[in-house]
Amino acid sequence: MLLTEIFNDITPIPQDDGPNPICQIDYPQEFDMAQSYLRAILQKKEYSERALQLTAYCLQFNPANYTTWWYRRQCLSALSEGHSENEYDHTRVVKDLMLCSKLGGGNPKNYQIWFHRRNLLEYTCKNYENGNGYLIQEELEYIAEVLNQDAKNYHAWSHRQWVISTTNSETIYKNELQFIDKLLQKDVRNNSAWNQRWFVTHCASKSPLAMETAQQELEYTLTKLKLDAYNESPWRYLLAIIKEQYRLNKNMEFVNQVLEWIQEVKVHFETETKRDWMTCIHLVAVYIDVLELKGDAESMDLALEYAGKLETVYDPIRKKYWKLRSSQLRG
Amino acid sequence: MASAEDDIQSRYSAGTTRYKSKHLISTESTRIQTSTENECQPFFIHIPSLDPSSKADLVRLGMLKEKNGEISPIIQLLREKHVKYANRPYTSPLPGSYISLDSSKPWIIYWTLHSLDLLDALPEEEDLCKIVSSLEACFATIQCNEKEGGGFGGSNGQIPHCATTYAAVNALSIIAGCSHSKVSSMAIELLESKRELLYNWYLSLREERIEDGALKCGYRMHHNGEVDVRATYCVFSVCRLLNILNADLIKGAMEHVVDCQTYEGGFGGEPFTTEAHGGYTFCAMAALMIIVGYRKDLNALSDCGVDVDALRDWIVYRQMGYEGGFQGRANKLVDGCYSFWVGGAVAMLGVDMHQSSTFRNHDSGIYSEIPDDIGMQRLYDDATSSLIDCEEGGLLCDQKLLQRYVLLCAQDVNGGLRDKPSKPRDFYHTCYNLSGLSASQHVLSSKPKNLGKSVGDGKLENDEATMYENEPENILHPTHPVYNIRVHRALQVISHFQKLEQL
Ligand SMILES: [Zn+2]
Repeated sequence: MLLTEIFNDITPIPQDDGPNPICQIDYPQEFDMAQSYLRAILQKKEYSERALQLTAYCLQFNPANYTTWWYRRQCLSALSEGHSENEYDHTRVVKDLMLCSKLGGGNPKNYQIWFHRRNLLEYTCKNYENGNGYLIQEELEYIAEVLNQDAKNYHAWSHRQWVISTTNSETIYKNELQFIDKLLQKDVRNNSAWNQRWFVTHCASKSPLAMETAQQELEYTLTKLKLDAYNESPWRYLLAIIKEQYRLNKNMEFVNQVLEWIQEVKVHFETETKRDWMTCIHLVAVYIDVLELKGDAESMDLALEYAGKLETVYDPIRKKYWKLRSSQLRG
Repeated sequence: MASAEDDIQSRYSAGTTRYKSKHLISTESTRIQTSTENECQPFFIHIPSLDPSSKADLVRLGMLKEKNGEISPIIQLLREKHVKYANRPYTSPLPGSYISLDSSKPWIIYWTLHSLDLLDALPEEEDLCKIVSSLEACFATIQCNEKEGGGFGGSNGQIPHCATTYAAVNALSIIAGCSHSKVSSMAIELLESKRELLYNWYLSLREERIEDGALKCGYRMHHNGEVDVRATYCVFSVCRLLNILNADLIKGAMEHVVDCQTYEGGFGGEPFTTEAHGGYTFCAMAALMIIVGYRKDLNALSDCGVDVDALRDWIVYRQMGYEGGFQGRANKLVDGCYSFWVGGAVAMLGVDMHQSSTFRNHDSGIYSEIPDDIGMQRLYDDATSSLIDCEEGGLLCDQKLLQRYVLLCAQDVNGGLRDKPSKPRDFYHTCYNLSGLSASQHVLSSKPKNLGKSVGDGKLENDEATMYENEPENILHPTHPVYNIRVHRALQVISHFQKLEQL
């Protein structure tokens, strides 16, 4: 049906950019017309099926129009029977998720589409135990598919983290470790997957890992470091786990063990590659950091020596940084 | 064993040795990293050794300049072409492909206006008047009332949005500081008339929660919209400029932002979950800098509960060893827009390090006053952090190599700037490449160079610039790393609204 027929009782309101417009965009005519009807019913606060349809139509042209999404949610809310906030009718949720997937296909980095998914699923996530939990599984699969296209899509990862932490199911957290491992097998440099590992092992909280879990994580990370010690991501992860444990109990035995492990990676690297380990700047940098944790005179001297080499030879782009570190190591 | 020298790719006129990235196993990440380095490599030519016809080509494109019949081997900022490109929104309608920017008009205006301002080429007064009235037309007419307040939307007829409000207020602040008195007072009046509405609207965007017995508060981007650290920054930047920041708005915000610092050291968009990212790190730091400036009991980021060493370490590793530009996340690719997001973060880090060391050393000295923005300006002007090598500029990154990336890889020879050579130019990347270039030229530089180049308004705001190559024509006006409008403009707006009563 034509817009003019569906909205024959409505007078469209054209875009008004003021008396001296600039930044004008040559809109396609269909869009311009639809948008004018949208403005009119929005002003009337009409929450109806036809309004819902019109928003979907307009969003196809411009899925970044947050006002259209916002209005769509107002309609969904008004047309649903639910009592709590964001409790939409199940069939409407399913239908809107499909709309999002359709619009999201060509716009995987659009804030509004991802937020709409979040909004649609909020009620389900918070009430995971009673009922439509399958939607959550489907959502995780959908996100996995998006990540299959772009393994580092920030929006997809944020959404995944939100779904998991809001649902807060032990099983989902546990399964996630396997998902992450698969991604890291595919690309050990996927820093988003490493970040997800931290998120999952820490269950979205500030509390440090139990010593046992920390040990497991360190061992896991070491296997990845032996694959490619040039890779920054596992080094950041390793260092953070070490610091977290160190802050907790200032255990020197633990620091010594970690130093041994780093030595192990260093030896492994040198035997495998026949290269100077100093070319592996993240390895050296973490070594320096852990030596600094140890803090005795001998370790500090060694740290200072390495920092000096990075400054002058191996990491010239961070010359100023290494100079600063050296001055701090000297105390 | 191979020596490090074997790994050296080449030496450049900037005098720095650079390394291509290394890997032992090939993955998707290493493949695209390698191809990005290869994509940049042809731009890193040694100009003096080019043959005459290639040099002539570069002269024709404007990349090199001919002086007295001789070709200078120094890469030029394509000022005129960038000015022309950034003027496009004010000269003719944008094609239909810009439809998605229909909900970001204040952004188009801010990106282009700030670019022009850095280049010292603001449009004529008549165009500026049109800009002010267009922004006025973006002030939301729906979802806006006395009680709930309101803000600027993406275009006429949209609900108010934090990001477009930030862009609109920055654009109006630029215009407020321009030399045309009529349009300048139009802009100021518009800002004045919206202060109370903005304040009330911001209050309605607060998303409070109690966690571990503490109040934490994020901000929504718009009603029934997403909460992330961009919103906190956008709200606080506007409030600081317009002097509407108060305890009710600040309550819980610091606690929320600090929770966004990740194990890597940088900040993500949301607490405890998301990955450290250059854009969110910028927003988090800038929001905290504003809070530190407001609260008398805080002197530095570390007082907020930020792990500043971890933050510093994360930031310094974002600079790419070969390309010289910044990446936004670990193991991602260089991108010109991070020249500002990360470059601005480096600049704020410099101010913060200086503030904290100054406070440690001079408890009751000249800096014992809480650093407001004027104080920050003073820090820029005379700071010589003994910790940092000032020969190379005062920032904790290689400023010259960053500039080199912007000048060589990010400039489109037809005007405008871009993410990387294989990507098309756009207004967003034009703005943030130029902002990053500016941030790396000026901040905390202490070595007087007396270039004597006077631009625009009559005088250079800061005549101690750090340059990739000695080319005064490439110097932009200094940008304020917190608000990202010219330092001068920010200080002017702040001091204007400081004279008005707080709401
Ligand atoms: Zn970019």
